[in-house]
Formats: sequence, structure tokens, C-alpha cells
Amino acid sequence: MTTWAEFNKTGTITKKKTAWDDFNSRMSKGAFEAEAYSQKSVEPVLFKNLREAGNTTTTINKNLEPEKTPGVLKTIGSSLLGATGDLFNQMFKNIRGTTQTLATPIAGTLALVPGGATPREAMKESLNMAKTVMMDKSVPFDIGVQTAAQQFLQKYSDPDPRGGYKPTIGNISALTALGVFNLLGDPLFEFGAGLRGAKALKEFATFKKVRQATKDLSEGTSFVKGTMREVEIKVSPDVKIKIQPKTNSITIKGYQRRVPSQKGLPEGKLAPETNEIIMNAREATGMDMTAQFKGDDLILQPTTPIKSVQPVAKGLVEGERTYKIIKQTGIEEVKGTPVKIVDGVDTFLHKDENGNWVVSEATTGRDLTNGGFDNSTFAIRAAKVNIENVGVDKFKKLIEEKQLTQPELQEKIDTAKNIYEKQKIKEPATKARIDYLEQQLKDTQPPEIKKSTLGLKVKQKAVEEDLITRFKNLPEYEVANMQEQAKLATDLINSDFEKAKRVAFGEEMPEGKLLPEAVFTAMEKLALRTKDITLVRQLAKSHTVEQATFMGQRIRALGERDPNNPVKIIQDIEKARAKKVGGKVKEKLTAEQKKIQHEIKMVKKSEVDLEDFIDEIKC
Amino acid sequence: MSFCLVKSKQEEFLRKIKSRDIDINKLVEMTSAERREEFIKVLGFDEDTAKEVNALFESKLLLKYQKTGIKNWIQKVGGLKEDVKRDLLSRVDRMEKVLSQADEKMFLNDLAEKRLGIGVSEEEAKQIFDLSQTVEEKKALIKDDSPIRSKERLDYGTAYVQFQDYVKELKLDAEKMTIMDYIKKPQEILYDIGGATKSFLSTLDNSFFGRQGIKMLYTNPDIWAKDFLKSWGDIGKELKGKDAMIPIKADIFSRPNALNNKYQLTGVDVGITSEEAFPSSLPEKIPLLGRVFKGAQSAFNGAALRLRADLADRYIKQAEELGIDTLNKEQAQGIGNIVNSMTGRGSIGKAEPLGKEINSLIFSIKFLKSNIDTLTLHLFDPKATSFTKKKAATNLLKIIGAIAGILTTSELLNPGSVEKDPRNTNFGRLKVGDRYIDISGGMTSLITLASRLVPTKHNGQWGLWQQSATGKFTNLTAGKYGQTTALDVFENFWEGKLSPMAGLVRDLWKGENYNREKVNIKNSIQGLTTPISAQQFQQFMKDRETTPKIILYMILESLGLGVSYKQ
Repeated sequence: MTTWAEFNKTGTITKKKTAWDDFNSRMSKGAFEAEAYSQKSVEPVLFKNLREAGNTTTTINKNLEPEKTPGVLKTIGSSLLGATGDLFNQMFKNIRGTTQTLATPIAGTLALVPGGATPREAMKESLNMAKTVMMDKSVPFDIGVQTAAQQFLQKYSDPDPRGGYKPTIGNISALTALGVFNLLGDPLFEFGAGLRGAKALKEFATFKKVRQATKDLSEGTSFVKGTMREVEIKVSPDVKIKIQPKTNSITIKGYQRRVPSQKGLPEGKLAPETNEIIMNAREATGMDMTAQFKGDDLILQPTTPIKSVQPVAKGLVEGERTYKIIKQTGIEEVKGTPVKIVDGVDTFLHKDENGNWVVSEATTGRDLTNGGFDNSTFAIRAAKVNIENVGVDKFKKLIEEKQLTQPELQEKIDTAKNIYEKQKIKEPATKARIDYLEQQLKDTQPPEIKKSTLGLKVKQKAVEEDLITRFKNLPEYEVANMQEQAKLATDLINSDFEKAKRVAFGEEMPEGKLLPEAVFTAMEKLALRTKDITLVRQLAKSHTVEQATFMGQRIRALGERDPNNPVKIIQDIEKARAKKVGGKVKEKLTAEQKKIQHEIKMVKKSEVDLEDFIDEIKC
Repeated sequence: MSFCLVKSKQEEFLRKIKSRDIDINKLVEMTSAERREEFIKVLGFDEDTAKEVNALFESKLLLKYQKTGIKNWIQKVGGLKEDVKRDLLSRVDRMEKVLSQADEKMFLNDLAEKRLGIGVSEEEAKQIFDLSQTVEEKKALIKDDSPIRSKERLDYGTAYVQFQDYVKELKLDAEKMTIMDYIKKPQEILYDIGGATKSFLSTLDNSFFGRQGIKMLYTNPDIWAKDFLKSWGDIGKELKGKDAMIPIKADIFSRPNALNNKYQLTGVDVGITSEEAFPSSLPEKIPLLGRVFKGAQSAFNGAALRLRADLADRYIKQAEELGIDTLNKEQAQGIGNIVNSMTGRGSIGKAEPLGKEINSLIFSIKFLKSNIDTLTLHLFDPKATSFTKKKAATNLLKIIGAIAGILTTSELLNPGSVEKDPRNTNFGRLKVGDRYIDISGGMTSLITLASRLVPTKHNGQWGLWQQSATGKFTNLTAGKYGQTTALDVFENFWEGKLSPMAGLVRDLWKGENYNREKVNIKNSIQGLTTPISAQQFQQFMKDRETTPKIILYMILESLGLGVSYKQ
């Protein structure tokens, strides 16, 4: 037993355990031990210790219940799927991260352009992003897109008190274009797009408005699909932009709720806001777009690369001038500013009587915007799209056909020359315009003058080439001098067209060395060049219906002919149709013609008709 | 009106009418000059007045008679469709002046042509002209170095295909048979029904790659694999209701070798409307199912065109690298013939003009010929050049090597599964379950036929030996009563190659069909209209095959790898 002295030495007061406590403790330990070894779900020593620490059996079992281990076969599928998913996810992230890292110097270089982030900031941002994407397992692979979108919104949109932002149409356009880039793959690594893609990306990297960016795609540019998954950019509580690589589309969810002006329009009509989004996305991405509505959502799909989009800002050249435009009421003079849309087409921007902005073609005075817009940028874009839709070459041909008169052209030349002379620094554009107008003037010389030139009706050279192709494998024509034949044939056409026709139709033999086949070939060339359908048909008939003639037989024996030659095709069809009729076609036709003539003869003619006629023509 | 007739002249005119000195019928019959003369002579008009009166007479009275007469003819004439009638009547209404002799000839000729259904109308001519111009314009935009399938090439190709389709449509329309035509040419009924039944039987699969095109798998596997994958996309497009053939043709016709006429010179069959297995498009017209038929047809035709164009491009390039002038017609045709034979379209030479008749008798004569040419190294091909023969030899080596490789592997994995004796029915086939799969596209059956019809030795005895699937040898020249003879073997071979219609005649003559059933209307119609793949499916079900085996056999069958009857 301890004494008080001993107790005092320790300096502490220890409550001595009672025998019952001791007993209870020992009994509990024994009981816990027994319980620990009798249960099977938790490791016995751990169970005993936990029990001794005051936990109840239920709590231990609940918290430490071992995971049920299902059979390997049952889990192998999901495990493999999970592992594959992780692998792919990391792979996507690595690719993104790598491209981001490699793009860092470019991002820095591009950031040298004034405004937005500094080169250092851009490079730092780029590297950070790359590091985050590759190293941080918790961030999604599209963190870059999400961050860029959010930073962009933060910079350019007003916050929405309900959460998110209040985006403007311009903001949505910019984000849509961002979506298109992501559909196309890592923008900097689009094959062929190269720096152009990077330039457009810089607009996002520095959070600039995409409408200032243009993308001139090189010929043969092809895009490689990026390692993309679906991305959703939350703009505001009611607007989201969804990038869907599977369907190659960008869906602006809830668009019509945000832009009610679109909702009120009939199907197929676009509100100016929608038009702006499409145009902006188109211009910024260099891709043509299709747009459709599904419920309140606007779905955009990039289709094919557009060619040579010129920066809008650079389109404006020189000052205001006077132009002529064609209206339903006649020709009017308007003040306009030259605007370059495509090379070789003289276009200008002006306002119409309603105050709408219109782009017209200068030499024809025709509106290219289908009625004008209240915004000049829209008008320029609409004109651009219209020209591209027609095709630049075809458009040039079309305006050639609708040229202004010669005096009007002359007036334009004089005005342009006047401007050119006054220019201190001679503008090549003005010179080019003068050349263009002068060429037009030359092209619109009266045809009488042209007729006097040998071979103008039909080009001798072209006839010669055709003759050589057609006769090259025909031995009987080997001796003929094709150059001479072409000259004789074109001479005949230009000097006596009716005779040439008769020769070509097989009704008359040519004189001298001239071969009828050469006349036929030249006449065919002329018909095609002048788009004379009647002559094409007559030539086709000259040796199907009239095949009994000597000329018909000779022309039928013509050698190789272009399989796309309309005369030949018409002949082939007529031949097929005649074959179906069977028998002697010519005789059947003559018989039918006689029937018609007979019917004409049979029409009752009365003296009353003649009297009426005289009555009609009397003074 | 600038001219008018003074009262005295008018009265004189009326008097002459009353006195019958002027006869309206005669005036109408006269030429312009004669009429003018008449006015001067009878009415005493001066030359100018006569001219003016005649002009007015022609524009007011004569034109009216001419128009009425033509309109009467249009109304009376039979065989004109309502829209054609309307068109002609409106043309007559548009006539503003009386027709001159030359114009009348042309105009009446036009009307007569319309009546007879010949000639090309102005609208059709314009359409042809416009389409040809578009083709030329698009062609001019293609730069020499433009890659194949570039936008400008495909634009041109599409315009070209649309143009060709329009022309083809007009031609086919001209050839369309009416009931009267069928009465006049009853043999056409047989050709048309024969064509339709062939199309019905060939459909519901993607068999070109395992049959006509299998030689390409062994010789040019890269092209085969690429085009095989594309064929599924073609089926998908057709099922969705899109035309899969336009992009295929647009690609082919816009390739450099199409534009420089080398395809045309080689005679490689890329311009044909349809392959011999699909002579008729009738099945396409069946509602809903038509799309499935069209899918199979496009996969088949598209495969043939693609493989042919791809191989032609390759061979033309190789020939040119060897210094061969591929613009030389003879050289080009040699290339074309081997390309065609490698893609199941052998040349039947002088029998080509009889193609329609032969096709109504034999299922795929050109395919058979292509196999013969391949096995005989084009030795009997009159247009084969040295290049053709060298290529043919290399190709045959590759084919034999590949098939031997497959069979050797099979034998190693499953000893006894390969029949090595060429006289055996199953020679050169791959054993899968209880059935044998033809992996040669029908070439081994030709070897077997040849091996049975030439003297060979069996157990030390020379003869024309045949070995059955069970391994039993028969001497075809033993002369025993009722036994199979060499002639029977030869006949059986050709009987198996008959077209569905000719096959029906064969069955009728034999008194039973392939299933040893008595021929009746029901099983005849079934046999003529049920696709081969569906017939095979029925057979597998009848043979109580297990589901996995049926699936396997059906996959093989639908890919053109013929599955034999149960052994």
C-alpha cells in the first residue's frame, strides 16, 4: 500500500481505481476481444481497439464495412472502360498541353500587336494553361477554352445579377467563332492554316473582339479534326454555347429567348443580330456557315472554307465620289465611297433614299446588297457574300453583260483620269481602275466594226484545233492542210453566212479545196460561241434527219469529237429517238409535214374574211 | 397604222371580189411575189401599194389561216401528250408573221418531229447547251496541279455527272418501251424481265468485294481496303435517301486521267450506267425496300467504278514510268483490258454487240471472262500488250500466293480442312464448319473444270477424273451406263452460270429446281425474285444451322464469299 509520504513525493493526486472499475474494464476488454474474434467483417485487433475507444459495434461495422468485391468478370468491362477513358482524357490533355506549349512563342509574338495582353503576359498565360492542362488531373481538357471564354466575357460583358454575364451579339459571335476553331482542332495546328489560325487565336488570347479578325485561308487548306469533346460555355443563366464535335456544330442554346427579334420572324428570315453572328463567325473563322433554328436554339455549322476574305477595315479606299445607280425609276446619281470587295470589280458604298447603306457595282450601277442595311458593315458583308455566292469569275462575266453604255464608260474614264492626274502620289488602284474601264470600253465597241475583222465571228485558231483533233485518225484527211481549211471555212462564214450554213447543213457543196467538214466544224464552233441554240439544233439535224445526203454521210464520218459537244449529243439523242420510231424516218417526217400543210389548206377561207380585211385597212 | 387603202382602191377591191376576179383561195395559194403581181395586174395598184397590201394580207389573213390550220392539225393528231399539245399550241399563238418557205420547212419539221417523238426540242437543246457550257466553265477552273478530289475538280465532276445524267435520261426515255413496242418486239419482254430478275437476285448485299473485286484484295490490297470501307458509306447514303453515285462519279470523272482522256483511250469501264449484275433498276421502285436495293446497287456499281479508276490510275502511272506511251491506243487498251478483268469485267471481244442477248442467257459473262483472262494470263486477249502480260503474270502469282497462304494457315490450324486435289469440288476453298467458302471469286471452279476435262492419273490409271466432295473418284470416260460423263461436267458448269430466266427454263426441262423440288409457279417466282443472300438464309435455316453459324455464313455470303451447300 502506498503511504501519504510516498503520495506527497509524487506531487500528483491520483484517483485510485476502484476494484469494480478495474473489474469492469477487464471484463469489457475480454468481451471486446471475444466480440472482435467472433465478428468477421473487420480485422479483430482493430475492432477490439475501436471498441475499447468507445465506438459501438454498429458504428464500426457501418464505417469499416469492407467494399463488396464483385467477380472479376463483372467489373472488367467497366474497369477497362474507365481506364481507357482516363487514358484518352489524359491523351487529349497532353495533346492540348503540348500544342499550347509549342504555341507559346507564337502567342508572345502575336501579342506584340498593340492592345490586349503584353507578350510576357500572353506567354505566361499560355505556359500556365499548358501546365494546368497536363499536370492537374482535376481540370478538364477543355479548360483552355472555358477560361478564354470566361475571361473574354469578364472583359467585354456586363455581369448578370442572376449569375453569368449579359452578352452582346458581338460577344456571342466571338464565342461562336471560338467554338468553330475548337471544332476544327487545335487552332494553331490546323494544317495549312498555320499562322492565320494563330492570328485569329490571338484575338482570343488577348480577349479582343473577333469581328476585327480575318482569316485568309490558303488554297487547298484542309482542317484536321481536333481531339475534341463536347464543350459547353455558360454565358448567362439563359444562354449557353455548346460546341459539339460529333455533329460539327455550335449550338447557341436559348438564343431566341435572348434575341426576341428573331423569334418574331417567319422561318428562313434572319434578324440583323443573327445575321451579324453568322457573318462574324464566318469572317473570323474563314468558314462558310449554315444556320438553323431548333426551338430557341441557334445551330451553326461550318461547311467549306471561304476564299480570300479581305479585312473589312482595309476595304475602304479613297474618298467620296459621284456614281450612277440603276433604279426602277431610271438612272440616278449618288455620292458614294469606293470599297474594295474583290479584285477587278469596281464597287462603292452609298446610302439609298431610305437612308440604308447599299453597296453597288460601279460599272452597272446595280445594288449588290438586295435592298441595303442600316449598318455599312452589314452592307459590305452582304455584298461580299453575294459575290462569293455567285462566284467571282461568274460575277465578273455577269457584270460584263450588263455594262453601262459607251458614253457612260467614257465619262467614268475621264473622271478617273482627272483624279489620277491630280494625285500627288499616283495611286495604283486608280490606274488599275482606268485600265479596267478602258478595257471595258474596248470590249463594248459596236459589233459592226468587229464584223469586218476576219475570223471574228469564229476564231480560225479554234477551228483549226478542232479540225486537227477530229481528223487526226482519218487517213483520207491526212493530206489536208488544217490551217488552210480553217482559214477557208472561217472566210466563208464571215463573207457569206447563208452559203456557209447551206454547206454545213449538207445542202450545198463548197467550192475549191474547202472541205464541207471544215465548214461544219467552224459553224459548230460559231454556234457554241454565240450560244445560238437554233443553229446548234440545225447543225445536229443536218446529218441525222438528212442523213441520206452525201454531206450528211461525210459529216457522220467525222472523227473524234468532244463527247460534251452539244451538237453531237443532240445528234445522238435524235438518233436514239429516230431508232425507236423505226423505218424510214425522213419519209415519215415528210408525210407528217404534208398532213400539216393539208390542214392549213383545208382551213375555210371565205370572201367575207377578205372583205373584212379590206375594211380593216381602209383609210 | 402607217398604210391605209384609199376609198377608190377599196371599192375597186370589193368589186373585184364580187365579180370573182379576185379569189381568196387563189390568193392564199400564191407566193408573195405572185400576190403582189396579182394586185398590180387585177386591181391596178402601183408597186408600193401592192407591196403594202400584200404585207398586211400576210400578217392579218394568211397568218390567221396558217395558225388555224396548224392548230387544227395539233388538235386532230393522235399520240401527243397534253403538255406537248399545250406547248405546241402556245408556240403557234406566238407566231407573229407568216412563215417564209424556209422557216415553214423548219417549223413544220419541228412539229412533225414532235408528233413522231423524234428530234430534240428547243428547251431540251437549251438545257443540253447550258449544262455543257457549265461543264466547260468548271473544267477551265481546274489547274494542272489541282489535287484529285479538290473542290474545283469535284465541282467540275458534279457538273459533268449532272450533264451526263440528263443526256442519259433523254436517251433512256427514247428507248423506253411502250406496250405497242413490246408487241412489236416480244423478245424485249424477255430481256427486261431477265434484267429485273437478275437485279432482284443480286441485291441485299455488298458482294462485289468478295466476288468480282476479290482479285484486287490479293493484288492491290491497299486500294481494295480503302474502297471497301467507302462502300459502307455509300450504302448508308442511299439508305438515307441520298444519291451515292454522284460523288463517286464526280470524283472519277474529274481525275487527271479522265480529263486527259486516258480512261477513254484505255477503254476502262468507268462510264457505264450499271454493272452486268444490275441491268435493271426496277427493284429500286419498290416503296421503302427500294432504298435497300439502291444501297446494294450503289455499293456494287460504286465499288466497280472506284476500284477500276484507282487501278487504272496506278497502272497508267506505272506504265508511264516504264516509258510506255499511254496515249497510244494499243498500249492504252492493253492497260484497260487488265484493269477491267481485275475488277470483274472481262472483254467478250467480238461478242460485245450481242451483250444484251448473252446477258439474258448467262448471269455474268464478263465476270466469267475476267476470271478466264486472269487465269490464262491474258494470253488469249488480242489486245494484251507486253505490259498487260507482265502485270497479269504478277497478279496471278500474287493471287495464288495469297490464296495458298490462307489455305495453308487453315490446314495448319485445322488439319484436313483443305482439299488439295483440283479435281475435287471443294478444291481451293476454305472450310468453315460443315461448309466450304470460295475465297477465289469463282476462279477455282474454272481450275476444277479444266482439271476434270483433261486427262489425269488416278491410282496409276489415266482418264478424265472427277472427285466428289466426299472424295469418291469417277472416271468420266469409263462409259458405264448412267454415269456422269465429261460432257455432263461441262454442261453442269454452264448450267450453273445461267441467268435466272434461263435457269428457270433449265429447271423446267429438268423437271426440278436446285432444291430438287418440282417446278411450280410459286417456287419459280420465288426463285426469280428472292435475292441470293435471302435464298441462302432460307437454306441455312432449313439445314438447321446454329444462330452463330448462320450469322457467320450470312456475313461471308453478303460480302460475296460464296458459302457452299452443307457437306
